[in-house]
Amino acid sequence: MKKNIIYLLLFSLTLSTVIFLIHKRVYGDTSHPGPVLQVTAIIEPCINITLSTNAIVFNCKGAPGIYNADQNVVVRVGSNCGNWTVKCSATPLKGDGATIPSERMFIKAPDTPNTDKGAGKGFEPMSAEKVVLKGSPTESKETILEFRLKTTWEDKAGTYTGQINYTYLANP
Amino acid sequence: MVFLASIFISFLIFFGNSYLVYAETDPLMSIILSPDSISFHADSSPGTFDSQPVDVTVRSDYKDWSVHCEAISPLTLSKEKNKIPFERLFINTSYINPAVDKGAGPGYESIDQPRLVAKGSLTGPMAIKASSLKFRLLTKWEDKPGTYVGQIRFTYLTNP
Repeated sequence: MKKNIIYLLLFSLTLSTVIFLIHKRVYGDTSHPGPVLQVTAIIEPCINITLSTNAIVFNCKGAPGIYNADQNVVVRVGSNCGNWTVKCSATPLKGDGATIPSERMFIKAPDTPNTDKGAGKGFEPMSAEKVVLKGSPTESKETILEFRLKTTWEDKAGTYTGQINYTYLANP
Repeated sequence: MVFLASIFISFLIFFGNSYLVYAETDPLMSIILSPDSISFHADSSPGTFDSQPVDVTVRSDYKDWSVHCEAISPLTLSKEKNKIPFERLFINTSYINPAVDKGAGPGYESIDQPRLVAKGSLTGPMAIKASSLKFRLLTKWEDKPGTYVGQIRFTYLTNP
Protein backbone atom coordinates (compact mmCIF):
# COMPACT_ATOMS: atom_id res chain seq x y z
CA MET A 1 0.00 0.00 0.00
CA LYS A 2 2.80 2.36 1.02
CA LYS A 3 4.67 1.45 -2.11
CA ASN A 4 1.69 2.33 -4.25
CA ILE A 5 1.34 5.71 -2.54
CA ILE A 6 4.99 6.45 -3.23
CA TYR A 7 4.54 5.45 -6.88
CA LEU A 8 1.46 7.61 -7.08
CA LEU A 9 3.38 10.55 -5.67
CA LEU A 10 6.20 9.96 -8.12
CA PHE A 11 3.70 9.79 -10.94
CA SER A 12 2.09 13.06 -9.85
CA LEU A 13 5.48 14.74 -9.63
CA THR A 14 6.50 13.54 -13.08
CA LEU A 15 3.16 14.53 -14.53
CA SER A 16 3.38 18.02 -13.01
CA THR A 17 6.88 18.49 -14.41
CA VAL A 18 5.80 17.32 -17.83
CA ILE A 19 2.74 19.57 -17.86
CA PHE A 20 4.88 22.51 -16.78
CA LEU A 21 7.42 21.85 -19.52
CA ILE A 22 4.73 21.42 -22.16
CA HIS A 23 3.02 24.60 -21.08
CA LYS A 24 6.31 26.47 -21.20
CA ARG A 25 7.05 25.14 -24.68
CA VAL A 26 3.64 25.89 -26.09
CA TYR A 27 3.10 29.31 -24.59
CA GLY A 28 6.66 30.42 -23.84
CA ASP A 29 7.10 33.64 -21.88
CA THR A 30 4.04 35.58 -22.81
CA SER A 31 5.56 39.02 -22.26
CA HIS A 32 7.95 40.17 -24.98
CA PRO A 33 9.92 43.40 -25.27
CA GLY A 34 8.94 45.61 -28.19
CA PRO A 35 10.09 48.95 -29.53
CA VAL A 36 11.31 51.84 -27.40
CA LEU A 37 9.98 55.37 -27.77
CA GLN A 38 12.58 58.09 -27.23
CA VAL A 39 11.22 61.03 -25.24
CA THR A 40 12.70 64.52 -25.12
CA ALA A 41 11.43 67.44 -23.07
CA ILE A 42 12.80 70.91 -23.57
CA ILE A 43 12.06 73.23 -20.69
CA GLU A 44 12.75 76.86 -21.46
CA PRO A 45 13.78 79.36 -18.79
CA CYS A 46 10.65 81.05 -17.57
CA ILE A 47 9.98 84.05 -15.36
CA ASN A 48 6.55 85.39 -14.69
CA ILE A 49 6.16 88.88 -13.24
CA THR A 50 2.76 90.18 -12.21
CA LEU A 51 1.90 93.56 -10.70
CA SER A 52 -1.05 94.27 -8.45
CA THR A 53 -1.85 97.35 -10.49
CA ASN A 54 -0.86 98.76 -13.84
CA ALA A 55 -1.06 102.43 -12.79
CA ILE A 56 -0.26 104.54 -9.76
CA VAL A 57 -1.19 108.18 -9.25
CA PHE A 58 0.42 110.95 -7.20
CA ASN A 59 -2.24 113.48 -6.24
CA CYS A 60 -0.14 116.57 -5.56
CA LYS A 61 -2.88 118.97 -4.48
CA GLY A 62 -1.01 121.03 -1.92
CA ALA A 63 2.20 122.93 -1.70
CA PRO A 64 5.31 121.32 -3.18
CA GLY A 65 6.70 118.52 -1.04
CA ILE A 66 6.61 114.75 -0.72
CA TYR A 67 3.55 112.88 -1.98
CA ASN A 68 2.76 109.18 -1.65
CA ALA A 69 1.38 107.17 -4.55
CA ASP A 70 -2.31 106.33 -4.24
CA GLN A 71 -1.43 102.67 -3.70
CA ASN A 72 1.46 100.33 -3.12
CA VAL A 73 2.51 97.91 -5.83
CA VAL A 74 2.75 94.21 -5.07
CA VAL A 75 5.25 92.47 -7.37
CA ARG A 76 4.88 88.69 -7.68
CA VAL A 77 7.49 86.59 -9.42
CA GLY A 78 7.46 82.94 -10.43
CA SER A 79 10.52 81.39 -12.03
CA ASN A 80 12.13 78.05 -12.82
CA CYS A 81 15.58 79.61 -13.06
CA GLY A 82 18.33 78.86 -10.60
CA ASN A 83 18.94 82.54 -9.88
CA TRP A 84 16.89 85.50 -10.94
CA THR A 85 16.73 89.22 -10.22
CA VAL A 86 13.94 91.69 -10.93
CA LYS A 87 14.83 95.34 -11.31
CA CYS A 88 12.78 98.42 -11.95
CA SER A 89 13.55 101.82 -13.41
CA ALA A 90 11.50 104.96 -14.00
CA THR A 91 11.26 107.29 -16.97
CA PRO A 92 10.93 111.04 -16.36
CA LEU A 93 7.36 112.26 -15.84
CA LYS A 94 6.39 114.45 -18.77
CA GLY A 95 3.70 117.12 -18.81
CA ASP A 96 2.82 120.04 -21.05
CA GLY A 97 6.26 121.34 -21.85
CA ALA A 98 7.66 120.31 -18.48
CA THR A 99 9.41 117.30 -17.02
CA ILE A 100 9.90 115.90 -13.55
CA PRO A 101 13.16 113.90 -13.57
CA SER A 102 13.13 110.32 -12.38
CA GLU A 103 15.49 111.11 -9.51
CA ARG A 104 12.58 112.88 -7.83
CA MET A 105 10.54 109.70 -7.85
CA PHE A 106 11.40 107.48 -4.88
CA ILE A 107 10.95 103.79 -4.17
CA LYS A 108 10.95 101.79 -0.99
CA ALA A 109 11.15 98.01 -0.82
CA PRO A 110 11.10 96.01 2.43
CA ASP A 111 14.84 95.42 2.29
CA THR A 112 16.07 98.87 1.23
CA PRO A 113 18.43 100.58 3.70
CA ASN A 114 16.62 102.70 6.26
CA THR A 115 18.37 105.91 5.31
CA ASP A 116 16.77 109.21 4.32
CA LYS A 117 17.74 110.37 0.84
CA GLY A 118 15.33 113.26 0.68
CA ALA A 119 11.93 111.59 0.73
CA GLY A 120 11.84 109.83 4.08
CA LYS A 121 13.58 106.83 5.63
CA GLY A 122 13.99 103.85 3.34
CA PHE A 123 13.06 105.70 0.16
CA GLU A 124 15.66 105.75 -2.59
CA PRO A 125 15.65 107.97 -5.70
CA MET A 126 14.88 106.17 -8.96
CA SER A 127 17.74 107.78 -10.79
CA ALA A 128 19.05 104.33 -11.68
CA GLU A 129 17.75 100.77 -11.89
CA LYS A 130 16.80 99.31 -8.50
CA VAL A 131 16.78 95.64 -7.57
CA VAL A 132 13.36 94.92 -6.09
CA LEU A 133 13.40 91.14 -5.74
CA LYS A 134 15.73 88.22 -6.25
CA GLY A 135 15.48 84.49 -5.67
CA SER A 136 15.71 80.89 -6.83
CA PRO A 137 13.17 78.52 -8.47
CA THR A 138 9.79 79.27 -6.98
CA GLU A 139 6.16 79.28 -7.87
CA SER A 140 5.63 82.67 -6.28
CA LYS A 141 7.66 85.20 -4.38
CA GLU A 142 6.43 88.71 -3.75
CA THR A 143 7.40 92.09 -2.45
CA ILE A 144 5.56 95.33 -1.74
CA LEU A 145 6.86 98.56 -3.23
CA GLU A 146 6.00 102.05 -2.03
CA PHE A 147 6.49 105.10 -4.25
CA ARG A 148 6.85 108.77 -3.46
CA LEU A 149 7.20 111.87 -5.60
CA LYS A 150 8.98 115.03 -4.57
CA THR A 151 7.62 118.21 -6.16
CA THR A 152 9.13 121.70 -6.22
CA TRP A 153 7.83 125.18 -6.93
CA GLU A 154 9.37 124.93 -10.41
CA ASP A 155 7.03 122.12 -11.44
CA LYS A 156 4.40 123.61 -13.66
CA ALA A 157 0.83 122.68 -12.75
CA GLY A 158 -0.63 119.94 -14.91
CA THR A 159 -0.73 116.23 -15.48
CA TYR A 160 2.55 114.37 -15.89
CA THR A 161 2.88 110.81 -17.07
CA GLY A 162 5.72 108.33 -17.18
CA GLN A 163 6.52 104.68 -16.81
CA ILE A 164 8.09 102.35 -14.31
CA ASN A 165 9.65 99.46 -16.18
CA TYR A 166 10.36 96.05 -14.69
CA THR A 167 13.13 93.91 -16.11
CA TYR A 168 14.67 90.62 -15.04
CA LEU A 169 17.94 88.80 -15.23
CA ALA A 170 17.86 85.01 -15.04
CA ASN A 171 20.52 82.35 -14.80
CA PRO A 172 19.13 78.85 -15.56
CA MET B 1 4.37 -2.27 -12.02
CA VAL B 2 2.53 0.89 -11.09
CA PHE B 3 5.79 2.79 -11.26
CA LEU B 4 6.51 1.55 -14.76
CA ALA B 5 2.98 2.39 -15.80
CA SER B 6 3.30 5.90 -14.40
CA ILE B 7 6.59 6.49 -16.18
CA PHE B 8 5.13 5.17 -19.42
CA ILE B 9 2.04 7.35 -19.17
CA SER B 10 4.16 10.39 -18.33
CA PHE B 11 6.42 9.89 -21.32
CA LEU B 12 3.42 9.23 -23.48
CA ILE B 13 1.93 12.55 -22.41
CA PHE B 14 5.24 14.35 -22.77
CA PHE B 15 6.19 13.05 -26.20
CA GLY B 16 2.62 12.97 -27.44
CA ASN B 17 2.30 16.69 -26.84
CA SER B 18 5.82 17.51 -27.87
CA TYR B 19 4.94 16.59 -31.41
CA LEU B 20 2.26 19.21 -31.27
CA VAL B 21 4.83 21.69 -30.02
CA TYR B 22 7.25 21.05 -32.80
CA ALA B 23 4.50 21.25 -35.36
CA GLU B 24 4.02 24.92 -34.46
CA THR B 25 5.79 27.60 -36.48
CA ASP B 26 6.94 30.76 -34.72
CA PRO B 27 4.12 33.26 -35.00
CA LEU B 28 5.01 36.76 -36.08
CA MET B 29 4.36 39.87 -34.05
CA SER B 30 5.68 43.22 -35.14
CA ILE B 31 5.01 46.63 -33.63
CA ILE B 32 5.87 49.87 -35.38
CA LEU B 33 5.73 53.25 -33.70
CA SER B 34 5.25 56.31 -35.83
CA PRO B 35 7.05 58.51 -35.00
CA ASP B 36 9.57 56.59 -32.90
CA SER B 37 10.45 59.64 -30.83
CA ILE B 38 8.44 62.44 -29.28
CA SER B 39 9.29 65.81 -27.78
CA PHE B 40 7.68 68.27 -25.43
CA HIS B 41 8.46 71.97 -25.65
CA ALA B 42 7.69 73.76 -22.40
CA ASP B 43 8.02 77.35 -23.51
CA SER B 44 5.73 79.08 -21.02
CA SER B 45 4.80 78.95 -17.36
CA PRO B 46 4.71 75.44 -15.88
CA GLY B 47 1.65 73.39 -16.75
CA THR B 48 0.76 70.69 -19.24
CA PHE B 49 2.43 70.33 -22.62
CA ASP B 50 1.54 67.90 -25.41
CA SER B 51 3.85 66.04 -27.74
CA GLN B 52 2.97 64.86 -31.20
CA PRO B 53 0.65 61.79 -31.24
CA VAL B 54 2.11 58.33 -31.82
CA ASP B 55 0.46 55.70 -34.02
CA VAL B 56 0.95 52.06 -33.07
CA THR B 57 0.82 49.70 -36.05
CA VAL B 58 0.70 45.96 -35.43
CA ARG B 59 1.09 42.89 -37.61
CA SER B 60 0.35 39.69 -35.74
CA ASP B 61 -0.13 35.98 -36.33
CA TYR B 62 -1.21 35.52 -32.74
CA LYS B 63 -4.79 34.78 -31.93
CA ASP B 64 -4.79 37.25 -29.06
CA TRP B 65 -2.29 39.94 -28.33
CA SER B 66 -2.03 43.13 -26.33
CA VAL B 67 0.51 45.93 -26.32
CA HIS B 68 1.50 47.79 -23.18
CA CYS B 69 3.80 50.69 -22.56
CA GLU B 70 5.79 51.74 -19.57
CA ALA B 71 8.42 54.38 -18.89
CA ILE B 72 11.75 52.69 -18.32
CA SER B 73 13.94 55.69 -17.68
CA PRO B 74 12.71 58.95 -16.20
CA LEU B 75 13.21 62.18 -18.05
CA THR B 76 16.68 63.23 -16.99
CA LEU B 77 18.43 66.53 -17.56
CA SER B 78 21.53 66.07 -19.68
CA LYS B 79 24.68 65.62 -17.62
CA GLU B 80 22.83 66.43 -14.40
CA LYS B 81 20.82 64.60 -11.79
CA ASN B 82 17.59 66.56 -12.21
CA LYS B 83 14.73 64.29 -13.18
CA ILE B 84 11.07 64.59 -14.06
CA PRO B 85 9.44 61.54 -12.48
CA PHE B 86 7.27 59.05 -14.37
CA GLU B 87 4.26 60.29 -12.45
CA ARG B 88 4.30 63.50 -14.47
CA LEU B 89 4.38 61.83 -17.87
CA PHE B 90 0.84 61.03 -18.99
CA ILE B 91 -0.75 59.01 -21.76
CA ASN B 92 -4.16 59.03 -23.37
CA THR B 93 -5.44 55.86 -25.02
CA SER B 94 -8.85 54.56 -25.95
CA TYR B 95 -8.62 52.20 -22.97
CA ILE B 96 -8.55 55.00 -20.40
CA ASN B 97 -11.78 56.31 -18.98
CA PRO B 98 -12.15 59.75 -20.63
CA ALA B 99 -13.83 61.10 -17.51
CA VAL B 100 -10.89 60.39 -15.24
CA ASP B 101 -8.60 63.33 -14.48
CA LYS B 102 -5.36 62.46 -12.70
CA GLY B 103 -3.95 65.97 -12.82
CA ALA B 104 -3.18 66.40 -16.50
CA GLY B 105 -6.66 66.66 -17.94
CA PRO B 106 -9.50 64.20 -18.56
CA GLY B 107 -8.52 60.90 -20.13
CA TYR B 108 -4.83 61.06 -19.20
CA GLU B 109 -3.11 58.68 -16.82
CA SER B 110 0.50 58.70 -15.73
CA ILE B 111 2.79 55.99 -17.04
CA ASP B 112 4.30 55.22 -13.69
CA GLN B 113 2.94 51.70 -14.33
CA PRO B 114 2.34 49.66 -17.49
CA ARG B 115 -0.62 50.87 -19.52
CA LEU B 116 -2.60 48.94 -22.09
CA VAL B 117 -2.34 50.76 -25.42
CA ALA B 118 -3.71 48.24 -27.93
CA LYS B 119 -5.12 44.76 -28.23
CA GLY B 120 -6.46 42.56 -30.98
CA SER B 121 -6.33 39.25 -32.79
CA LEU B 122 -4.91 37.87 -36.04
CA THR B 123 -4.22 40.71 -38.41
CA GLY B 124 -3.44 38.66 -41.49
CA PRO B 125 -0.55 39.64 -43.74
CA MET B 126 -1.31 43.35 -43.50
CA ALA B 127 -0.30 45.50 -40.56
CA ILE B 128 -3.12 47.45 -38.96
CA LYS B 129 -3.19 50.74 -37.07
CA ALA B 130 -3.97 49.44 -33.63
CA SER B 131 -3.96 52.63 -31.62
CA SER B 132 -3.19 56.32 -31.59
CA LEU B 133 -1.53 57.59 -28.46
CA LYS B 134 -1.30 61.08 -27.01
CA PHE B 135 1.34 62.02 -24.50
CA ARG B 136 1.33 64.92 -22.05
CA LEU B 137 3.96 66.28 -19.68
CA LEU B 138 3.20 68.16 -16.48
CA THR B 139 5.96 70.61 -15.57
CA LYS B 140 6.55 72.41 -12.32
CA TRP B 141 8.41 75.51 -11.26
CA GLU B 142 11.15 73.38 -9.73
CA ASP B 143 11.99 71.76 -13.08
CA LYS B 144 15.29 73.28 -14.06
CA PRO B 145 15.42 74.65 -17.63
CA GLY B 146 17.20 72.40 -20.11
CA THR B 147 16.77 69.31 -22.25
CA TYR B 148 15.54 66.15 -20.56
CA VAL B 149 15.62 62.71 -22.18
CA GLY B 150 13.94 59.44 -21.30
CA GLN B 151 12.49 56.26 -22.78
CA ILE B 152 9.16 54.48 -22.93
CA ARG B 153 9.25 50.77 -23.65
CA PHE B 154 6.48 48.92 -25.42
CA THR B 155 5.92 45.25 -24.62
CA TYR B 156 3.43 42.75 -25.91
CA LEU B 157 1.62 39.79 -24.46
CA THR B 158 0.52 36.99 -26.73
CA ASN B 159 -1.61 33.89 -26.77
CA PRO B 160 -1.00 31.63 -29.77
